Amino acid sequence: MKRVAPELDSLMWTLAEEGNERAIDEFGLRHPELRGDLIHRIQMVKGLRGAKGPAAITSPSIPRFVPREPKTPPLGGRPTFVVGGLVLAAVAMATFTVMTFLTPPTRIHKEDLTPRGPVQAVAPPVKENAVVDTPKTVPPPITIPNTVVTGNESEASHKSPSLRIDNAPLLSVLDMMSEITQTKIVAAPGLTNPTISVDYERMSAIDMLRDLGKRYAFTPLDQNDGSILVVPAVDNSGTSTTSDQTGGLGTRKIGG
Amino acid sequence: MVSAVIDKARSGSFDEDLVLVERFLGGDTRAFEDLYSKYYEKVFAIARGVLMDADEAADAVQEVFTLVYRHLGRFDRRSRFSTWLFRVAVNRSIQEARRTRYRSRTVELTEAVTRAAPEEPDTSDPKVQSTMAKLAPADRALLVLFYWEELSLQDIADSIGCGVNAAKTRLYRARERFRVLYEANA
Repeated sequence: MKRVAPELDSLMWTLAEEGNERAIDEFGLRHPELRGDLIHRIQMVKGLRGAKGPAAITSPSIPRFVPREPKTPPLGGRPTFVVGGLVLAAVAMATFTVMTFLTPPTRIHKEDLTPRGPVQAVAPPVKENAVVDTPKTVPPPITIPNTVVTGNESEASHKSPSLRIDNAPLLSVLDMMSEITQTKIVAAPGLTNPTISVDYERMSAIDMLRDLGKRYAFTPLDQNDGSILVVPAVDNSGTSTTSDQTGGLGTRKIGG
Repeated sequence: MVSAVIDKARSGSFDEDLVLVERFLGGDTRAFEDLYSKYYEKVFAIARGVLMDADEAADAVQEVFTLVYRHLGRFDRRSRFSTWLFRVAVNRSIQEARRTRYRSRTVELTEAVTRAAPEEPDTSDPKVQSTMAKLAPADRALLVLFYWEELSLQDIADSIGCGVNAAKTRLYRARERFRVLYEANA
């Protein structure tokens, strides 16, 4: 089919619908290439208009008007969807209400909000440089319920945590303490390894070690480089930073 | 109500239909019979053009006038009664045509015309009839209003419930679709 310019297309429809023969002839003279298309449109419009004839013919007499009963929509029509939607909404609302009343309110405890740390751990292996009397039997598991370190605690809290361990070798306790307080604890050769129990609340590593040292005959020496050396000797004064504070070499018992 | 009639009369465009409407709404049922008789053939032609079936068209006409009979109080008198009636007729016919669109129209059309008017010669172009049958009901409605009822673009716009420009565009597209199908039939 040829593409006709919009203005010519519109003009051809107007000519076909108005049927002005003179205008049609003039158009044919000016646009002979479109004459056939125009004739085709004229025939089409005549056919369209003529198609009304049978419609009028088929109804020669006007039937008497009798108002009908309004047609009810078939099942599955729009009202059915509306009613179904309302029923579903009512059921959903009732279910929600019943469940709300039947379910007891949930209480949120403060401790539930903090992340839980390990409550039971196996004692870490003894360091190779620590010469100790390792017990033949397998040590019992260490329970450290209060060694929880939360993510939003301060650096100071990391260095002063709580530690509770029952029936564990001393060297294992020192390892755990080192891990929790993030302090390097070095056990000097000759340190005994008795089974001990500890329970400290928010104490620094050096304070824990001082207390332990009094009970189990060793001295913690702060090396001022983030590490603590534990030597098997007793410092009755409790001070442990320098050898002078320990009372000299004479008071120190270096095991061997 | 009556003031609307008086206003129309004063403006010089006295509407006989409006008087009949007011009489019917006042309780005069014969006024409705007058409206029915006056517009039966036009409404039938619209329904026949959209539905392409004489029997279904006759049924649709009764439906249309039943709707008008029950809801004439909703006629707001901003347009002419005939325009409002044609709008009801077009909508109802398109609705009915969509409900039965999957039927084989071409065969039924020929049978219906032959059965309804056996003694009248059918002078219409069968190519036009078969082309109309292939169009969508809404397109058929537009062509019927324009070529059969020879309504103005404004009246067509009122009858299908849109603006004049939209009616013009829709009519142009319907005519183009008809032309494509008509030429394909050739």
